[in-house]
Amino acid sequence: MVEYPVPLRSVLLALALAFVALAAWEIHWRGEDYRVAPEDDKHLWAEQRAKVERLGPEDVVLLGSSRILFDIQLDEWEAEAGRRPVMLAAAGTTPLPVLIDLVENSAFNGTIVLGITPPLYFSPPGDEHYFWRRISNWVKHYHTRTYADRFNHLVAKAPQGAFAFLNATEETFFDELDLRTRLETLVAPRRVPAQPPFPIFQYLDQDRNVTMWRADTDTALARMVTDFWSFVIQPPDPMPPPEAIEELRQAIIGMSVEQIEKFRARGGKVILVRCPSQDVFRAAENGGFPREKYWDPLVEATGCPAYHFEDYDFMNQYTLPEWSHLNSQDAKQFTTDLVRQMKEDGVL
Amino acid sequence: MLFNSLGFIVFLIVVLAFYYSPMQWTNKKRMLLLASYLFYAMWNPPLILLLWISTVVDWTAAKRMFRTSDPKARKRWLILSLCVNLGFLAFFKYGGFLLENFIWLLNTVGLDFQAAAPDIILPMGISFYTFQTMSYTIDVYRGKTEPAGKFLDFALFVTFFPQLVAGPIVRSTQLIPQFAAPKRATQRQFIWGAFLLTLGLFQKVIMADVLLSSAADAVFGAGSLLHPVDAWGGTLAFSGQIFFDFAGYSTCAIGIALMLGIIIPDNFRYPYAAIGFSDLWRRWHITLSSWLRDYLYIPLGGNRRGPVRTYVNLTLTMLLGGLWHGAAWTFVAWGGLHGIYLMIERFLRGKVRLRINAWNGILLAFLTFTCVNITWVFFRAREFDTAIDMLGSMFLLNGGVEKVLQSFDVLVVYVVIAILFVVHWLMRNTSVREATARAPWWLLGLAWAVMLFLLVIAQSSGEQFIYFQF
Repeated sequence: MVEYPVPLRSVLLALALAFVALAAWEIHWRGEDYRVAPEDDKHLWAEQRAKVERLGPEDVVLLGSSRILFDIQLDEWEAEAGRRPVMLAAAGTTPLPVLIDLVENSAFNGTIVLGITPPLYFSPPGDEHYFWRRISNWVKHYHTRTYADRFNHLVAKAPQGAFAFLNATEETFFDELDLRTRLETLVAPRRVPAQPPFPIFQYLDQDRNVTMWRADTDTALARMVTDFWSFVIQPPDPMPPPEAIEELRQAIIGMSVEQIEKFRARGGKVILVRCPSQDVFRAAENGGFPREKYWDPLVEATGCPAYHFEDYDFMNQYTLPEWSHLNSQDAKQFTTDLVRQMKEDGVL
Repeated sequence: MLFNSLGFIVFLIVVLAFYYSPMQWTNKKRMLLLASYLFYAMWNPPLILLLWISTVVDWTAAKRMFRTSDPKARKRWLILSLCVNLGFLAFFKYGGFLLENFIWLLNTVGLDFQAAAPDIILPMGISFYTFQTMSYTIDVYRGKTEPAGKFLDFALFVTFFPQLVAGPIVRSTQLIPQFAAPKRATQRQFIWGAFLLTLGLFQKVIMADVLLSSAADAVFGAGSLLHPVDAWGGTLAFSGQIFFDFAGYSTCAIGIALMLGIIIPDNFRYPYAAIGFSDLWRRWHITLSSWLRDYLYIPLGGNRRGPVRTYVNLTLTMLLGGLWHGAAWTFVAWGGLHGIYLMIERFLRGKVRLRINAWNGILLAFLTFTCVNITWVFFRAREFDTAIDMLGSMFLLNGGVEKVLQSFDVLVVYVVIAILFVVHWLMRNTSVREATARAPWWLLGLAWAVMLFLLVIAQSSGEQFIYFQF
């Protein structure tokens, strides 16, 4: 057998070349305006979820889909309400599994702000459905994460807080910077139909406070997002029978009532919020999930204080760059106004 | 803890810092033992108890066997060791499977019996460390080796973190003597160990996870009759994925151990260049194959009791080898197919005289590789219906037309697997170390830099190694 064949100068060359290549990679992506930010993954979500165990009756937890993530700004909420809320909303998910988890598996008895995005909230329950499974996996991760998971998350914070090229999520954004996604862009022809490219248009901080990125300044990018929305909000073909749709609607309302009543019984409070949507998105929501059949009965059945953007001018005064989310500047004012209104109404 | 995680890199740096600090050898071994328990406990602390029980039982059994000359007493101690280790396996790994089949059997004979599915955690790496400790007590029983002199050395043999959860399955004679005297890697050993760690991570993260896993997942999760290009694509992708995943883990383990100055044996030698199935099992998961040969096939009689008995022994060994991988009938089918291949090969070897050269050799290797791919369908599918549909699509028997792989995956899978096969063929009679020795220093530096760069930008989410579940 030959002697161990790699000399020290090979190591030094490898380290030098790897360092130069990574520096060039980082400079390139910073030049493309990529930001240094943590990954919005199950580990960061679980870290926030763990905070709930230490909260008291005066605290607020934010649940919902991406609209709560974009539209509620934590600094403004804290400045107005005096306490920083915990952000547990997650993009492309229904908040119901998290509501169930908080009610069943925590002693939290403060206030839950429950964001309702009708196509997501009234989507079918169960892990066989994407909107449910995605957040359900995060909830399961919180309860089953190992010490190794926690340690990895802890040590990953330093590089995530230093390098812009560390940009990979569990989503399917076409412009993420992980190797797999970069390689996929090199082979363009499609062999099987696929969704239109979906760009990243946000970044967040360690508290999962989201900032809109590029969609508010780059109309071409905003157009890519709206093209994607136009694709995903198509009604299913074939449509489920009306009885099945009605059964699902009632099931979701029933599930919500059951959990909220349990939560109330131990002193908790739930506030429903319907954040704004516009244009084709709003038309699709109004068509598939009309307010009088979905939002109004949900509010009535749960008896929760509720804020629908159509009912308040301050919630309805902005132009949404991509039909579904506020830009961050508007979101700050939106948050301040919403908290003030809630305080004025005595629900917060 | 996973090798392909940032947490492990931090862990390793701390271990190396202590290991190379001015500390007595015994204290270094204590530190390694503690680090190994920590390595395991970071996943599930209570399950360390199983490691401790295995360690204490096998340590005691071996000592007692060695001290007595009473054959009955020796056998009793051996049986105790086997019962504890196999009992752990039976309960934790096969409990659910046994119950499921028991219920099926009762229902089949008309008895209405139901039971709740047991909620049993499969301890990571249980199949590896139980086999490793069992080999120790069996060897002491057979008089092939003496018991370890120090409990610390034995405990470290059972728990040594580089190979604890997914092998290589090391024999006591290969590892315990290395703990006797102070060990430190030479500079060249340390560098080579670090190189192997990088190479292993590259195999796992880039080749298995980034390039191949999604194609395999898409195809085996499709649930429909697939276009032959997709069916073959998914099977080939899994074939490459499982090799890079497992060989990558073994390469990391060997590299990490070498950084500590400890040598552990090879586990893979370019298996996809194997000519025939005896050759395959001398190249694939070598430490398991040799374990099954020494502790199952030969005790069953091996090839010493006539052709029929040899075939039976081969089949039994491979069926149990399949079951070792997982508690499902598809794994048994995988092992059974390998058993059939070995029987056919053995039968043909007596009838056909063939001089292997480069030309017929590569054709035979390709034939072997193709047959191996058929077995991987059962290994990956987990359900027979899926496996049958996959094979139907691969051999144009079911008119499957659905496409699930994008152009990117088709291109990557077929190119990567073609290169994999050719590289295995070119390397079949050599080793990475010998090939590396022929390369200029700057080329090694460049290759290492490329691997490091790709590993960092891959942004691996720390996917588990496939063999952790076994």
